[in-house]
Amino acid sequence: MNEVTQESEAEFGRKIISANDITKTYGSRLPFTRSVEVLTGASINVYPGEIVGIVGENGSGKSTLMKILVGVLDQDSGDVTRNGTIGWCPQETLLYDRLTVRETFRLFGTGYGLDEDEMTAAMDDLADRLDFERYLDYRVDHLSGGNRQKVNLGIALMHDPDVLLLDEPYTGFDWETYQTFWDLSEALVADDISIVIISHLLQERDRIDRIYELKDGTLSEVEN
Amino acid sequence: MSGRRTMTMFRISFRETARNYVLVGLLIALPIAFITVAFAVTQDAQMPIELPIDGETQTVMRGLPEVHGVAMTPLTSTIIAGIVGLLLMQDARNVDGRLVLAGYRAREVILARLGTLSVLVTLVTVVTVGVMAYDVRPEQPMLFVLAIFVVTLLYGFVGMLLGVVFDRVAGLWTILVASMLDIGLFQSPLFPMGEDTWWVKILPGYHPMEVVFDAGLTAQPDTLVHLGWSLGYLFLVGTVAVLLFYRLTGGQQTSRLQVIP
Repeated sequence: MNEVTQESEAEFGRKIISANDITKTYGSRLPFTRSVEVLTGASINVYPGEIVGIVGENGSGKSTLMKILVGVLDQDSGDVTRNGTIGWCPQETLLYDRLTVRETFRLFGTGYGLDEDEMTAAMDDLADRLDFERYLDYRVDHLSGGNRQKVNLGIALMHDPDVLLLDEPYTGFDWETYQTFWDLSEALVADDISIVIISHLLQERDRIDRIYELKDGTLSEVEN
Repeated sequence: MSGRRTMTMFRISFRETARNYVLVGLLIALPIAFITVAFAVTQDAQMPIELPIDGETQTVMRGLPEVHGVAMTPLTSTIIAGIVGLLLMQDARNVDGRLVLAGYRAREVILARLGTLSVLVTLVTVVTVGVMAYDVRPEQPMLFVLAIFVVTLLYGFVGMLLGVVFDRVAGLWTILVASMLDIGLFQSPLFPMGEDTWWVKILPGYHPMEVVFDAGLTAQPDTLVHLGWSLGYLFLVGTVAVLLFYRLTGGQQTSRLQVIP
């Protein structure tokens, strides 16, 4: 454990997510093709109420790491511990195209275990904050890219998770929504919710508590 | 809670599939294009055909339009069901895993998807047999409907299996070619190939199509053994499809998005 992480643990207390020595190689079943070693021993800790950025070049394995942290993808070796509820906003908007936004919230809200009133309250609040209330009865495939991403983010947030994992979250956002996103992030952090943002380009470094760089399959903390 | 999640998923799954206008268009257009037109353009003549009668295979004369109609009905239904199965598996590959992470059990998602497939296969069976019945009635209606349902559901599962391996375009072409070759060519008495070879017998359409022609063109059932084999084949392919579906939806994982006690 390096010095920065020790300070963080003292400052923030328990780890919301802890990943140690994660490795992942994508094998190929086809002959004459090679397997790709993506992660070779990546470690990261996330503490309550902090914003952590993960940067790296295109193809460095950021989305693979995110999927492993969330639990969508199994690592080849290493340990991942999660202590709390997770909100996951994937890079590609994993939503059903032919459902309306309202139906999408109902579907995921049922999965999260919310009752009707909680679902409605969460949907109305997020629609208002992210400014998509006029699209609630639109089908997902009729939304613009930015509005799809707002719904994608809303689904990740509707059950008040302890940690929010965001993969390139502001793709397609206009400037106003981008500002709203950061206002929302600050409000979440004030409620002790952690946020992990993956991006190939982090422009708002002053808003981020710690930044990891993913390079050659491992993570290292960089000066912010 | 589990029942509520399954019912929500089933309703939403059915609604989402019903909003696929290409699929709805196929359900309306394909039976008319394949079955009604087949009757309309086929020469009104008699043809010799080998059918199981009183426990023996006998060569009898039947109307060419009737034989053509009976052959085109399962071809139509299997193409549509194969596409439905393919699309369901494509959704499973893409989005259903996120639902499982959100708290749905994999078995609830699979149950809802199988429910959707079963309802749509029933609908396809009713529509295709209904369109056929406008021109000709099968000799043993109940057995005929059952055989069409079985072969249609079987191809729904085949479509799901193809959805694991292929993307949407490649999967569509493969299900079209597979149905055309198996149901429309190798199992059809319109294209007699002599004694059935072993590889024709292991194709998904072999056993149910024996029942289809028996029920469609003879007065007494002589292919109940084939019906049994069809159900066994259906169980086998269905089990493989469900296992793959389970794997694709992350069934081995527990939800990481719900509250951890």
